[in-house]
Amino acid sequence: MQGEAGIASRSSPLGKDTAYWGMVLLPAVFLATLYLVPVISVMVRSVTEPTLGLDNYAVILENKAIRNVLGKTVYICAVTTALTLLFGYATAYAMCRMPEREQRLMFFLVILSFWISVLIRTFAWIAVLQPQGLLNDILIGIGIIDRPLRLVRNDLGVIIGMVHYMLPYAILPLFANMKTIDPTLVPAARALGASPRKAFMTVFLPLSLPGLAGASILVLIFSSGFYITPALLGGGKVVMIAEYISVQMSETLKWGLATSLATVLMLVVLALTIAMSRYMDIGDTGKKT
Amino acid sequence: MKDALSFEAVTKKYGAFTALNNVSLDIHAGEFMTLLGPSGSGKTTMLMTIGGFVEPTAGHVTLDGQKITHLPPENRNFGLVFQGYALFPHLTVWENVFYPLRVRGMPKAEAEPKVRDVLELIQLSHLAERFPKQLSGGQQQRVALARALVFSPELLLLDEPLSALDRALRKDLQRELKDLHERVGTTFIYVTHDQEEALSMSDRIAILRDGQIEQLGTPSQLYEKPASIFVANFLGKSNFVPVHDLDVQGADVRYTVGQDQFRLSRGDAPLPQTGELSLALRPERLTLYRNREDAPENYLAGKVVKVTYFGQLYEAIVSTQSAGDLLVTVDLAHSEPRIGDRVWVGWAIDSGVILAGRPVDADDAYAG
Repeated sequence: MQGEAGIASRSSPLGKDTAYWGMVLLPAVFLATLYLVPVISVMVRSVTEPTLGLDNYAVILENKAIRNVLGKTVYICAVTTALTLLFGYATAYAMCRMPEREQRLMFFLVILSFWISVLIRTFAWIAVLQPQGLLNDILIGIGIIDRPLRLVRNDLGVIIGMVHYMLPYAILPLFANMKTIDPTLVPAARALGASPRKAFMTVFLPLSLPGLAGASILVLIFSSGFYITPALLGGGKVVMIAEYISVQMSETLKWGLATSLATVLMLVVLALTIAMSRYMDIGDTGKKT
Repeated sequence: MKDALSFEAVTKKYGAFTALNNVSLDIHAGEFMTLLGPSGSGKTTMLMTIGGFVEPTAGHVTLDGQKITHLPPENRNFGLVFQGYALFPHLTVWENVFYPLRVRGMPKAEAEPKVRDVLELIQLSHLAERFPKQLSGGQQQRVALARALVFSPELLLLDEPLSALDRALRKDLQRELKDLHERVGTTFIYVTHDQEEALSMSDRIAILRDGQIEQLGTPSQLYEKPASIFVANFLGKSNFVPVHDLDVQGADVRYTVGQDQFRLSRGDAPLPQTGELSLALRPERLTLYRNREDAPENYLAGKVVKVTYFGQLYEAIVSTQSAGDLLVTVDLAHSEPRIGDRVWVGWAIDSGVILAGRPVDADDAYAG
């Protein structure tokens, strides 16, 4: 490490290794104290409370309620990720093909949703989706349906809210990746005899896989920890793991169980990241082995 | 000669901008046709119209008499080589060349010999397993050619394929391309803004300007008998001397520069009738003489004002009273011209072309 830093610093304006290490030091200390220490304490607590051992993990495996929560979490995350990638891919693809000005406008609209807090957005969705809400009123008003659709307090409501929240996280990495794809490749494929669909499947899609992998990991990891959106849009009927952990912490006070669930969640996310980064060969479009 | 592809009064408009203005052109089967012009002249639009990526606003494109104006690119069976090669970065050289056969549903085993042959043709068999980014620019260019030829296309379209390469490599590849054209016998349609490239490779050149064909002909026809000041300026260098008082006796023309009369045997070159006229004279058609007695029938007195040495020749600028400054190339067999020399500039009676108009430097000259 020292040697590498030395080589890098020779051509740098700062010129000294210490300057680089100094820049890394502060955030490193910050992360260690405020992030690593709590994470370790959570992991330690999961095997020491209420008694030393793996009792909490045994409960996770045996308890039917917990298994249901985990199953629901996996299901909601999978559907959310799939839908987010689908819509995100279409949006990013369209943005790539737009003229500069429209592209900037779209970019602004995508970023815009970052400015509104998740809490406000979730309440807004309730206002839109509830039985006497905007959407149902309109649909009944124009006579498409005569009884309100059940759009909240169920899986559908949670998924709508989560997909909406996650979309920018999918669009941005996908767009960044698609911008790196040479725009003459698809026309070249057409000229060589590929139909538009075939050109997309054999050229554009494979080249956008790194973007898809990045976006899917980001969305999957984020959505596995969702708390407010499922709690509000699910109306207590859709309980995901984050809400369950919170209940164990603040209401039933089973801190051992809560921390062991948190550990499981963390390990799953870690495993997913490693697996997908291996499989998808993230960040490298050209090479194949 | 059989026509492979024809443009029939093709117009393409983008909003208020007219990229192609009523262009008609017949391209013969098997020829190397170059579309030459400055940027914005419509040459790439023409090529993309042939390729099927641009739909004309009016007019038709026909192939062997069949209208193909609205046929999508994948159904045309034309090879297309893009400016940036457009090799697929996720596929190896072999897979890139196999691609057009693969999308035609040809099994790998059947395609194998075809891919092998075309890789041999471009001498890249040893790099078949490499990825495009592991190749040099010239090698990538050759792979793009192989990929566009492997399915035996009816035409090969090339969009400035050498413009990204350095000068020495470009020269080599020009020769290779010409060679390849002779071996495969396919019709090549080549777009470039490089006049040297066009002159050295083409069977015929169409010079485009503002969406129209300014002149069509063989390289030597265009170079020796340009039909306009634009063409004379675009292909090589030329002197333009204002002339007046034409006296035409068939092929024999007498013209006046300043007070002096000169003679031109114009052959079959057309002659503009009215308006301002210029005599276009190539610098290599002019010769410097120390003695007046040695000079041919057409000559002017002048003084050398600038000399540039180019290795294989000199370029001298000679200031004359009636014709202004003339650029003259002097080969090394002659004695070196020196600034201040009093000389006679002479030219043969079959040299030069009389063209309509006067050159407007910024407008007609093309830098590059």
